[in-house]
Amino acid sequence: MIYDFPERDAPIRQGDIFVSLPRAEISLKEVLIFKETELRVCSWLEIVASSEPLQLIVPVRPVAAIVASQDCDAIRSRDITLCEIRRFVDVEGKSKDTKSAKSWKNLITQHARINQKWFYLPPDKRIGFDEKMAVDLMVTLRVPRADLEECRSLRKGRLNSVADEHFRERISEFFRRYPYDEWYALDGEELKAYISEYPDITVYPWQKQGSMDDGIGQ
Amino acid sequence: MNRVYDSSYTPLTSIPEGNSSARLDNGYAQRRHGIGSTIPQAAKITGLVIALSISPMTAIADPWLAEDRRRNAGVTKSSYEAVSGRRLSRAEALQIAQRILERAEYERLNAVEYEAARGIQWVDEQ
Repeated sequence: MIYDFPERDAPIRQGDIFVSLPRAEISLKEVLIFKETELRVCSWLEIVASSEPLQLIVPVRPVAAIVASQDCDAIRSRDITLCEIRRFVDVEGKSKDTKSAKSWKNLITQHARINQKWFYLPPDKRIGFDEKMAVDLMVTLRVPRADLEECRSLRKGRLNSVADEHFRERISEFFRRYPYDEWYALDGEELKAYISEYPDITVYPWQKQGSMDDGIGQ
Repeated sequence: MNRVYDSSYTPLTSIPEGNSSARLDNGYAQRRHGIGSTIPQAAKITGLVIALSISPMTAIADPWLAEDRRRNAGVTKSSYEAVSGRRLSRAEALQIAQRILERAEYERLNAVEYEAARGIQWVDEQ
């Protein structure tokens, strides 16, 4: 499909797909501290005042991931950032009941119209994807570049040139999303429909009862 | 040597009136040096010491100083004492670690469900 398979000693690049990289999970509510022979659990706020380094127990899970760092950083920087790759159904909730090719087509091609939080990766047995996968742009992990270079046997492939260009743009679009309250420009009726679905919103002064007008004559 | 940089210098005994020609006057540093040399060295050092010693009293609260003091206070205790929390067994620690992993997965899936419910619905509901 959309993958290339570089030589084993090829330099690491953006779009390289690795498997079995460690993704650590930190909880600020339950920090597991290892001190000498003793284990303790406390919240991060209880220990944050200490300026000393701590030894923690951190749960780690091996995951598939794709290099998000730009090529120049992937060559020189101390660390490389990757985004986790997960099953498409676990990243895009709408795909759970998707069966027909037409529906899949609609979902996969959303990229062109919506700034989604994922990047689609089609199945390919050579790379180890038995089903539709996606890069979850929300979940990043960081590994030392030199160590990752030592583990290049874990690289199963990379995006081909077309997909890689798309991926590069998707990452940058994702991180420069403009956050705003999407209801701010709705008129009275539209706002009513919106609130019926999302009742917790705070309406803007111009949307309050009596403030609404059609703008004519202003 | 480039002649542009070869300017003749005559020591000044008084500060001249300013002029409106905006010409670069490169005698300023030398004049400063001349004025400074009239203050005794011991007086300059004394003034500097006084200024430095009273500056924390006259300045506004310094967050960096406060942070430094807090940190220094922290390291006087051993981290063993500083860390409160609850003591637990290895098996219990592993259970908590497993729970942290599972909770992270669960919360991510929940977020995906939430997003799916509020995203664009491809079937027109009309």
